[in-house]
Amino acid sequence: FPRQKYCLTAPLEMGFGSELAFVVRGCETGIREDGRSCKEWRPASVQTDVILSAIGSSRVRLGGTDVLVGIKFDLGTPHVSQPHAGRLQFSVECSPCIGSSHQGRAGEAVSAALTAQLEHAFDPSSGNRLDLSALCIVPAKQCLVLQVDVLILSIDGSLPDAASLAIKAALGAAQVPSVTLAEATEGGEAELQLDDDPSATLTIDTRACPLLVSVARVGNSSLVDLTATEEACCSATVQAVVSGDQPRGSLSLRGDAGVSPDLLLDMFDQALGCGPALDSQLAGAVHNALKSREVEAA
Amino acid sequence: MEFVSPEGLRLDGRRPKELRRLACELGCLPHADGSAQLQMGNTKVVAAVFGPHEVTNRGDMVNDRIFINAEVAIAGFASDRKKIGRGDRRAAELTRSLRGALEQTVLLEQAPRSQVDVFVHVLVADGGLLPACINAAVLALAHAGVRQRDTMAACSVAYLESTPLLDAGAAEESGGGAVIVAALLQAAEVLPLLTVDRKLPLETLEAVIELAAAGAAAVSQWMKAQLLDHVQKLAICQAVAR
Repeated sequence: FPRQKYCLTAPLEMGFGSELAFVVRGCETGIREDGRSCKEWRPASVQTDVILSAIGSSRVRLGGTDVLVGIKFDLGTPHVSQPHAGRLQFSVECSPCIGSSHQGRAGEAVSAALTAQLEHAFDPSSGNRLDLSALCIVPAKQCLVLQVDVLILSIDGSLPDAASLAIKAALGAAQVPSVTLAEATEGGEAELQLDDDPSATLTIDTRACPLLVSVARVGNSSLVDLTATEEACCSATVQAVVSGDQPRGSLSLRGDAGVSPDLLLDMFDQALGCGPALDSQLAGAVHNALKSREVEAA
Repeated sequence: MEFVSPEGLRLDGRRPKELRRLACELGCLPHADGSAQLQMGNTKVVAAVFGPHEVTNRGDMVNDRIFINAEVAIAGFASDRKKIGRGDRRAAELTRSLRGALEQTVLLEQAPRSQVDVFVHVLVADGGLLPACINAAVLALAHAGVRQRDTMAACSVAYLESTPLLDAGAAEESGGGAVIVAALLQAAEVLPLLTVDRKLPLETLEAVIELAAAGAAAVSQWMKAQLLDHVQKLAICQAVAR
């Protein structure tokens, strides 16, 4: 039959005034459209090793948002400010499978925005403490560049959150090949050697890998993990970059309305508070992946 | 490189007429009207179907039939090749072939003046991209309830070292020999799609097409079994819910 377009799960542009008002009133009384409380996250499923042609991959389904991350490696030059470490390069793509709402320019806008957010979160000069020194080959001259491709298969709110969860899981489960500089022969240049041995791969310690957590203001309450309909009614969003070990973070404020400084700090604290729970869920998924790899190898 | 060993085994240990392992998951993208994730060997593709719904561009509307809007995209991490960007010729070719094949199997008269979107995304590319896209699209269309003439399936054959090799992987496809892709409508005994890449000796053509059609028939049987299985599970769930 023709698709019903006027229901609560409709894309943003179809939201009607009375329905959005219903959602706002619900959030203000502490009950959201799917029955969650304001501080609850949707059940998320994290799978790793889904793309076997990549050195690391993961798929995160956070409610209706489905994000796939594949990591490949390449040779490159280190960042000027970090000569002893490798680099990450991000590329976000909106799959046509999302539907007509995110095709063409709309999709490109979403992917460009997310790429910018990720690059900022993982930028060493903005406080990122992720240790990529294992990727260094020749200090200040050559390093491994990990190409992180994010593929969005479906969107139902919380896109940066889901994407950063997927990236952290993929990095944690990644098996980076070890590339070393061989001895320079007489009159020749030193060559790079790639170790073929599957057990001689490096892993990246992702305890300090940043996560993006959004807390938004709907009516007079603060929510985490918004669905697409809730995002259509929110007045302001605080997006925090939460870094595992230390509760360090940076934040950005978006939206039509302003937020008072006290409220801003409250929302920021709330975002930081979500960090440990998300980290433990991811650690569980990565641990399972490593265990199943051992079982396969045995 | 030797593609067929003296014992008759291929690079991955298969016999020349052996298909790779098939696996599928129906309904993997709940927001779409129909979706399917298909794996043929290492090649993994996901297909999403939206519709039938109103046409998005009035110029595409056809008065007496469905307009099929097909698009194939290849993910950046799908293969070792560097991603070229939006203007990827491989994806454009796959899109054209997919649309042509689907127009011959979907019962276009079932919903005049409407549009069906079929979006396929290749996640891992290890040979047999066009067959995988076609098979996944057919499964997703069936899952969406779009009526089709038959369960169309496709299969590829690579011709290397004077041997037709069924369901070629990426290494075999780039081995320099001809690659043939055939789609089959089994009941009507019709091939809606037949493509031949590179050169093939004329006397081997018939045998190669027959092998590809046989492979497609086997895949079609498997797909029918998967769809039936899915419907049976749904029936059980509905019975339990009542």
